[in-house]
Amino acid sequence: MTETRLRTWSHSTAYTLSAIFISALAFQNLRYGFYQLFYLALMMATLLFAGLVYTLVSRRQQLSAPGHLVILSLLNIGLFVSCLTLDAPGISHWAMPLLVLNLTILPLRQGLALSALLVATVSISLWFRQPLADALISSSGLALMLAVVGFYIWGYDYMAQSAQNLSTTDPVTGAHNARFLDETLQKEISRAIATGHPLSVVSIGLNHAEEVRDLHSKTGLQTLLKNMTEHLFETIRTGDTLYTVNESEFFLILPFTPEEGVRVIAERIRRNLVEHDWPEVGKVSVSLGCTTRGNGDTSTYSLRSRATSAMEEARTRGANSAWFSPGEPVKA
Amino acid sequence: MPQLAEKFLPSKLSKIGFVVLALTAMGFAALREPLAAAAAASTAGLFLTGMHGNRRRQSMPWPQLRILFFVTLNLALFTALWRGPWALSHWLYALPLITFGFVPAYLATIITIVGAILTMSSTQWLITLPDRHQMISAFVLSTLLGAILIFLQKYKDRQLKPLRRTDQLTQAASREYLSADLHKEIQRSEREGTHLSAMAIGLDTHLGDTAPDADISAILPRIGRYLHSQLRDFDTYYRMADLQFLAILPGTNTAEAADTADRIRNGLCTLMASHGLKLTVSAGVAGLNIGDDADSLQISASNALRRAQQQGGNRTQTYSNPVPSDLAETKGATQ
Repeated sequence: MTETRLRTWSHSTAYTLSAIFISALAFQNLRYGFYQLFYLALMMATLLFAGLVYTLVSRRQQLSAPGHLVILSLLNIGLFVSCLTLDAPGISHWAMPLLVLNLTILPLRQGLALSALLVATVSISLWFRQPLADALISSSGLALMLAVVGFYIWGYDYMAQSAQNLSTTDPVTGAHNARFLDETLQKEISRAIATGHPLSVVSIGLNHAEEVRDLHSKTGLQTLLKNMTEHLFETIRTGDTLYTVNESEFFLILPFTPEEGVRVIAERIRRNLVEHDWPEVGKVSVSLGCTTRGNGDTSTYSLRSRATSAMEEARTRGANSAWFSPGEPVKA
Repeated sequence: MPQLAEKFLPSKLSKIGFVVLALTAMGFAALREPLAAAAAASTAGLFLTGMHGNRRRQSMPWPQLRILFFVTLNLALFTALWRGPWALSHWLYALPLITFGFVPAYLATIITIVGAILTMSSTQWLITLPDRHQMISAFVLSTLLGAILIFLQKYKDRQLKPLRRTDQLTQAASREYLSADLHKEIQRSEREGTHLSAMAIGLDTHLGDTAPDADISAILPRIGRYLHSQLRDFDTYYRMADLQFLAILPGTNTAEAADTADRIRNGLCTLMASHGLKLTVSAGVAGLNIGDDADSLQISASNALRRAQQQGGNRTQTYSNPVPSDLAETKGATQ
């Protein structure tokens, strides 16, 4: 499950649960004749339902959806106001689930700020109304809850971040990502120096990626890239590795491959990709830049930049071509 | 680094939490609220003992203290439900999340369910209180939302586990990747026609007077760092068993690998001596033969290491296949 889908699921579950409970509470207040509380709860349930709908509508941009802040701020303000104006018993209890909801749905900082504000407001109203001991117990309970939930969310945030940092594959295409490319390429260079074997790299760029995106939307482009990745995985040999870089580019590391080999492979890949009829998109055009490790190439940067400039050279010489850029020859 | 979260929090946050809660407990004591004071003090104690699974607080008094504090907290909060003060019910909300933090998950689930039922049934008697309905539904809702949080955390943890490629202690690659990586390397050496060797390195702890375990585990990170500095960029090493490492050396034949093994062995012995440990190191080396796969190469290297340790340790043993295959078990490793 991707992070976006996981968060969509958790947000909608949280909203649904809260909406059900608040509706039940509204009904109960109606039965007991607390009309002010009934209207408050009804308003909150409506807001929560709106939050649920909003979550489902913006399920693809769940991680950066700004509407949650508005909805939760309104909910919090509702509770602030009722805390200050209504003299209803036990309203401080409702700060607890709202606090958990804030932190579950909002990004860490926003959630913490909003919840801290909520805890402060409710505590102040408690200090004014209740005897000292009760007020101290209740407000310390609120603060403890904030600390514990904050701790959980912080830990979750941290793990989500490290999962992103540790992953070696691109979420869209399934090929390895650019960070892992640098790591592997450095190893391969050191290996090529130690064994004296040739090492070649190929940079593959999809031409007119912007136009494809405009024509077939972002998902269309992603599907195309995914299909291309699968196709490339079938073309390359054991020991070759494939990476996705800069969204619409691929990078191949070909160990134990001299200049002649990489020329043949690049041509084969070019023909394979260009002649294939891609679903929805049809024909595409690609540019390939290849290079072989030369004497002076001891860093990943020089190899990568030479491959990229070779690809750009191929692009200016007309789409659908491959260009080889030689390095300084290796002295035996 | 993935392990930072678990290390950072207990040290920094728990100290602050402990101080704040201890002050709160004193405040309650001054206001003559014994149950609230007990709850705050035991929560402070929980913060001090550290989370469940905390590495540093594993020894004798800490787990027992943790259980003691946890039980005290539960008793105080549930007693307060029927003896008052009612305001202490605000502390109940954090209890499920605290439970999941301090006891194993299956136990925490049982405790939370029992606690929720207890809370719900006991509040039925408090008819005089106007806000018990508010409390009960707010409590159940918070617990359910808390369950989402716990689920999210467990899910992320499970997602993260296979991504941790390195052992925390020694920075060796983790054991799960060994077979897959070795398989890849064998395929490559077949394609390129180069040699490949596997080298198993083990500390000779079974020989007579051994150093205390604490000393050995203290030196493991240094051993990891030493291996990292001595092996080439494209060599990989794995922590096979507690005190055994396996390194894959591509492009190296058996004789060269034996030289490397001897160099590393001497270096490690010097390293141990400089830390006052009288430990020797043995190594087993196996070269890739035709027909070897990842498992057989691993086993050959381990067999060679075992042979080296059986012969008295502090030596390098290379593995060579005896020609009749049925003798392989009896004369597994010969010079």
